[in-house]
Parts: sequence; structure tokens; C-alpha cells
Amino acid sequence: MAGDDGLKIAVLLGDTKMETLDRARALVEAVRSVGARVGSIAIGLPTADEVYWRRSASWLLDGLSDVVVRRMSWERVLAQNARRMFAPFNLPISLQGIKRLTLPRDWGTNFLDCDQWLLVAGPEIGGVFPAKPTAIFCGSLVARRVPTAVARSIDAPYWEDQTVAFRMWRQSAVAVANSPLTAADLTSYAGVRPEKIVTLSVPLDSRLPDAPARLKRDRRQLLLRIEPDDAHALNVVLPALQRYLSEGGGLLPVIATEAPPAAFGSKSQIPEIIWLPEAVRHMVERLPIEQLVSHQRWAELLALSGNVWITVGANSDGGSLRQALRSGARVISLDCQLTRLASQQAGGAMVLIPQLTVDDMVETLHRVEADMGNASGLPVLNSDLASLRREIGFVLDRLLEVRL
Amino acid sequence: MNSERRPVGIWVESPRGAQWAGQGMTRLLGFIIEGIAAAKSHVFRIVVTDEIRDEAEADFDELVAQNGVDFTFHSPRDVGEKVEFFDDLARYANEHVTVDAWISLFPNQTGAQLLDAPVSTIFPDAIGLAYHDFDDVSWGANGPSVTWKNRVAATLKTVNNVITFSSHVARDHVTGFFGVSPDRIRVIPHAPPTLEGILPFVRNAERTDETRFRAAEMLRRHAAQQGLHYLIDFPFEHVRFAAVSTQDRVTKNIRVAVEAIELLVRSWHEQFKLIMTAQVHFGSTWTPTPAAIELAQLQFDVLSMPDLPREVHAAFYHCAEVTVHPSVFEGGRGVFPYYESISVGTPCLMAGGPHVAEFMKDAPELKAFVFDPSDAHQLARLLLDTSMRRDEVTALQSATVARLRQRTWGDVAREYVDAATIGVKPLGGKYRQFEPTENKEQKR
Repeated sequence: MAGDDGLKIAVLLGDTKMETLDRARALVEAVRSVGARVGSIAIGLPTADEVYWRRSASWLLDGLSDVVVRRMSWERVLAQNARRMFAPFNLPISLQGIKRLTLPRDWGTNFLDCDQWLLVAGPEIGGVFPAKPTAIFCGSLVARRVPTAVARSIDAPYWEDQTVAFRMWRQSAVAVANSPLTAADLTSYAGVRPEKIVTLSVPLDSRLPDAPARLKRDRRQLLLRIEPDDAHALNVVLPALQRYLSEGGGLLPVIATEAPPAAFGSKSQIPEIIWLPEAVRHMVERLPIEQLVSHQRWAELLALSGNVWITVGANSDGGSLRQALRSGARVISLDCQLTRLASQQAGGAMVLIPQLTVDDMVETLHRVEADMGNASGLPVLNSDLASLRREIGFVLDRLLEVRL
Repeated sequence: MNSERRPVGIWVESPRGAQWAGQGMTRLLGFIIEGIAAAKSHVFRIVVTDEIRDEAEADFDELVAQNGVDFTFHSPRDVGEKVEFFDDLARYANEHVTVDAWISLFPNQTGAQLLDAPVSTIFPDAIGLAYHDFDDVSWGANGPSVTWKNRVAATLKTVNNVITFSSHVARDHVTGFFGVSPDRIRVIPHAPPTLEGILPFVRNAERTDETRFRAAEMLRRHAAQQGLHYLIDFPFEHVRFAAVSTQDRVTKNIRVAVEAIELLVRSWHEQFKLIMTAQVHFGSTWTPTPAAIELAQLQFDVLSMPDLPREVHAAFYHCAEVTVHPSVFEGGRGVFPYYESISVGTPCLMAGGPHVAEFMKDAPELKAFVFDPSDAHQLARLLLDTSMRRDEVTALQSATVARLRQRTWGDVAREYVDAATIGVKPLGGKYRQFEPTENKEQKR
């Protein structure tokens, strides 16, 4: 329970992807804005490549006080052992059918020194034992729409992790959704009761660093924000791009990805790349590929590009989409509930691809090229910070009601 | 025993290892017995093997009918005999069970040919002849389909009347496959089943937040008892799901419902699940359903809750947004899940087929809820549309069922008795003419 110094909050990340870092950073800022009852914040950032980890930690901490970042790993323990570890708390939770649970480890207090745990994580880390009052901040449940993005078959271990995660989410104090679609999935797919769900009125989005003013936007540049997995529909997107270019398309594509450039190269072992037609692979190998090793680089690429194609569509919570919109580039994406909403908020400035087909994509690219003069600067989307502060305050209050 | 009631025999050949409780035809028999109990006109004398006797008697003790008054059970142990073959069982029945006439539960029960009193047979359908099994064994020279067909052909030559549940089976199967003259066929449709009264908290089939919550609690308890990991603690009452209540058989066509859910969830980003009572055996090749789920990795949006006790089954329907019966064929007129589902306040969508075409003659206003059994898009659209207009659709479907319910199981039972007893000629002496060695293949 909070001492005189206020609550100590743990923000625990499931992975080190940029969208996760973005959500975590925005959450930390929102928690700090709640007021005096929050004392300090400890961020659990999973260990990764050391250079990347340090850069990410630095970005998370930038300009913030009373925040620390700890190296953390997620450890699997037997469920009954976890119960015995925390037996004095006598937690009223059901572990029926659950073999293993997950706990955060920092080789110190393991975040037990914190009053509340805020998990910025998806189901892939499994079910986290709620040794502290816990809130779930999950992104989109991509496994529901594109299961092959997370598992090759129904026998993959991922599904058991997901089931256990869902079982624990249902028993957490509160689950927070970044969008109405995710909130609906949290009930219908994860089985979290609606009364436990808080849908944020504005998404948790972090602002990108400012790009240097010297950078000049190239209206012909087409920045493709893709990752080599099925959530990005590479089997449609890349053949469409190849056909567009073979038809004499004049936009200049650049791939922006968190994966190493080799993932798209001739020696790639990634099935989504290997299965592409030969001509498409050949085209991809010749494209410039920018690895997103920092938010700074992402901001620079957005500043340089007249057009940004966000391929992930409905299979994300839209963080990169909104960042692209704020950059002033023309943003292209598949027409779906999430992108339509974002487009409305941005004054209808997005270019929406009607269907996930090669034909529709090629036609859209030609249309964008023919109408390059109209790329527009867009309004800042994330303006209602007062609502966000109120909603995060409500989440913290809800966690205070949990008795261990 | 009630001496004023005329006795009618029920002939049941249960193969070794067969189950009694919860099987389609034994459930039907239960309904008929409850019907005769209401009519108080006859007593059914049910002849079974010793092996199934206890299970059968225990099951029927739960009927709204009295053992010893409305029905009696008979098996060779009653007279200290043991029998190995069904022809021996027939000999026992001829010697020890006195009836005016017999009703044989299935048309392939060849022991019925040996009974002395007149025999009529129920003919549910010849599904295997109309919807073929393509495996090498089934249609081999001595395969089960061929054997079944030969046995039925032999039996139909010796029985008096043939009872079907629908005109389409009478026309397409009994006459179509076996050449039986229509004047020997009695079409006796079922009375509409109902689940009314099984859920004490549901009044007038009305669904409220409270009744849905209580039904969901029953489903959660069942999930916990059965170790259905994902569904323990699942908020059924807050989740839009389609109920499919059927076993997975060759004509059940569950795959179309799976594909509709895939469309809804994956392409249209709608919130819809499918929960079925059929077991899903991944890796099976006799049904396309498991592979459809597996390929799409839909196992968390298409789920199975098998072995639901009666009251949990009613709760399952009550909690659902809509029921879907995707079967391309049923032997009856219409579909049982429609009646069951609407009786607890949930509307039903049904795939077209001969059973539904016949049903539409009685209920043309339900045509809007019939879909092409191979059109997943149409089903998906219908699911959304029905969900949006759920109250209106429920009211319409309830009005139909109220009209159709005027037929009772008492009516049905009387028609069965009439079919078995009126204008039939005793086959007497048949047993003695029969060559027992031909029947050794019946060894159980």
C-alpha cells in the first residue's frame, strides 16, 4: 500500500517492440500526470540486445523524473509454486487447469517493492501471477484476426500461453483497451467481463521526437511500414507493389521495419518471405530497407516521406498509423473500422484501400501517385489528455481497492 | 399392470456395447411412451437384451410415465433364459410377451421378421444411401452400407406398415430406394419438442440479463466440471455466440457455420463465436469440420461443449444469441433445434434441405431464416441481421411454434399404435419358416 511518498507503480513490458515502448512511455506519462498519489515508477524492460536495450531505456526515461528502468525477464514457474510463494496473500484466484504462470524477475525485489503492476503486454508472455494488484494494458489481439502471425498450427505452445493469459486477465482487477475494437475482443475473445474493462477515450500514444528541420519531404517517396509476419499481409502487399512498379508506377518505395534487413533478403528463412513469388522477392531485394533502431529514425523517415503505407491495418492498435498521420505525410491503409475512425479524426485525409486484394492496392497506389499534390498536414490527434488522466486515475483507484 | 390397456410390443435390437440413454431413437421412444401415458389407451411392452435392460429401465424411470402401467420391459432373464442371437430373442418374445402387434425401432432389425404378431417398422431414414460414405470399406461387397441395405430390403418385404417421420423420407427413401408402395407407409411427424420448464428461472421463454446470467453460471459450472480450460470463468452472458446443437455426422454440415464465423471475425471484424455440442476430433477425415477449425486456427472462436446435461443444454440455448442448424438433411419434418431453441427464447437459422422444404409448407413465414447450406456469406449476413433484430425475430418464430405445438406426443403415440394395429395381418408362423443359419451374421 502507498506510503507517504505515494504509490510506487511498476510498468512491466511484454516485449521491446516499438509499439509496446510507445504505449509504455505514454502510460508512464499518463500515470505521472495523475497527481500526488503517484510517487515513483519502475519500468520493467525485457532484456534485449544491449545497445538496443540502452537506447530504449533512454527513450523511456527521457525528460522524466522519479522513473527508473530495470532489466527484466519473464520467468515461468509452476502455478502451484507461485501460489505457495505468495501464500500469505491468500489470493482468491482460480488456477484450475493452469500448469505454469509467469513472474517478472529483475534479480532484485522482482517488482514486489511496487504497489501496483501495470502490464503493457499481450498474451504471449502467458498468465502473470498477480502478486500485486494488476491491470492489463493490452494492444490489439492480433491472434484472433491473423493467427498465423503468432502460431503456425493449433498445436503451437502459443495457444496454451494465450489461454492461461486470458484466464489470468479475467481475474485481474482491470483491463484497459486502447480502442473499442480491442475492448470488444477483450470480452468476446479473452473472456474478460465488460465491467472490468476500461476503454480509453484517447489511445495511449507517445509523441515521436522532432525530426531535424533540414530534412525535406520527398513527395514521391513511399514508406512501407512492414514486418515480416502475416499481420502485415505481405503476400498481398508486396505482390501489389511489384505489379505497381512493373506497370511503371513512379512512387519510390522504402521499407521501414524493426526486423533486420536480412529478413527480407535472398537468404531469409522467414516463411512469409520465402513463399513470395520469385519476381516479388527479386523486387524486395532491390528496395532500400531502413531498420527502425530508434524512434528518432522513425521520425526522420516519416519526415522524409510524402506517403506512408501502414500495412498492418486492423491488426494493431493503430499507434504507428497515428504517428504517421501526425507527421503530415499522406497515409495509406486498408479500409477497416480502426483506419476509418482514424481517417475521420484526421479530417478524412487518409487514403483507404477498399479490399485486401492486389487489384485494389495497385489501383490505390496509382491514384495516390496521380494526386500527389494534395498531401496534407494533419491535426494532432491525441488532444484530450484530461480524459486520459481521469481514466488512468480511475484504473489506479480500482487497483487500490484490491486487497491482498 | 393395467389389464384394460391393449398391449403393443416394441422390438429393440441393441448390438453389444450400444448405448441407450440420450440416443435419438430411444429418446423418441420415451416421448411416445409419455404420449401413451397421457392417452392411457395402451401399454408398450419393450423387449430388449439383458445387457441393455438395466440402463434402459433406469433411463425410462425418468419419464413422465409409469413402469408397469404405461410400459413394461422384458428380456430373457425374466424367465431364466440366456440368448445369443436376435432370432433367439424373437423366440423368447413370441413365447413370453403377448402383444397385439409389434413396432420395430429400426428397419434393419431382422429379428423382427421372426415375430409372430404383426410387425410394423419405424424407418427414420436411409441416410447412408442418399449421402454416401466414400471409404473403401463402406460400399465394399460386404460393407456396412451394402449389408444395411440388404437387411432393410429383406425386412421391408415382411412387415406390414412402414412408419416415417416425414413425407420426404417416405417418398425419397422408402419408396425411392426400396420400392415400398406408398399405401404401406404411414407418415407420423413428431410433436414439436420443447425445453420449456427445464430452466425454472425462465418464464415464457423470455430472456433477461438475470436469466442470461443464471444460464451462463450453469455453463461456467459445466466448463469447470469438464475441465474446459478456456471456458472456465468465461462471460457467456456478455458474448455473442451462435449455438449449434448436433452431433458431427456426414450430413450435419457444421463446416458452413465455421466458415461463417471465420468471415465474421476475420474479415468483417465482428464479435461472434460459435459453440457447438458436437465433439471436435482434430485429425478426423470423416468430417470436414475439425480441419476447417484447425486450418483457420479458429479454436478460440469455434468451440465445443459436448455432453451437456439436459438443463445445461437448455441454458446453452438460452444464453446464445442465435441457434444455427446447418444440417443438409434430417429424417423428420423441420429441425428439432428450432423448437428447442425458441422454447427458451432463442431464434434459429436453418440450412435448406428436404426436411426444411417440407417444414416450410407448415411454416412459410420462416423462409427468411433458411440459408443455402453451402453459402457461408449468406449465413454470416443472416447471423448479423438476426442478431440486430433479435427480439423481433424471436417474437415471429415463437408465434409459429405456438401454432405448431397443437400437435402433442399423445397424438403421435396414438398414430403409432394405429399404424401398428389397424388393418394389419398377422405374420404368424414366420419364425418357423425362417432358416436360422442365414442369421448367424447377426451375432452381436
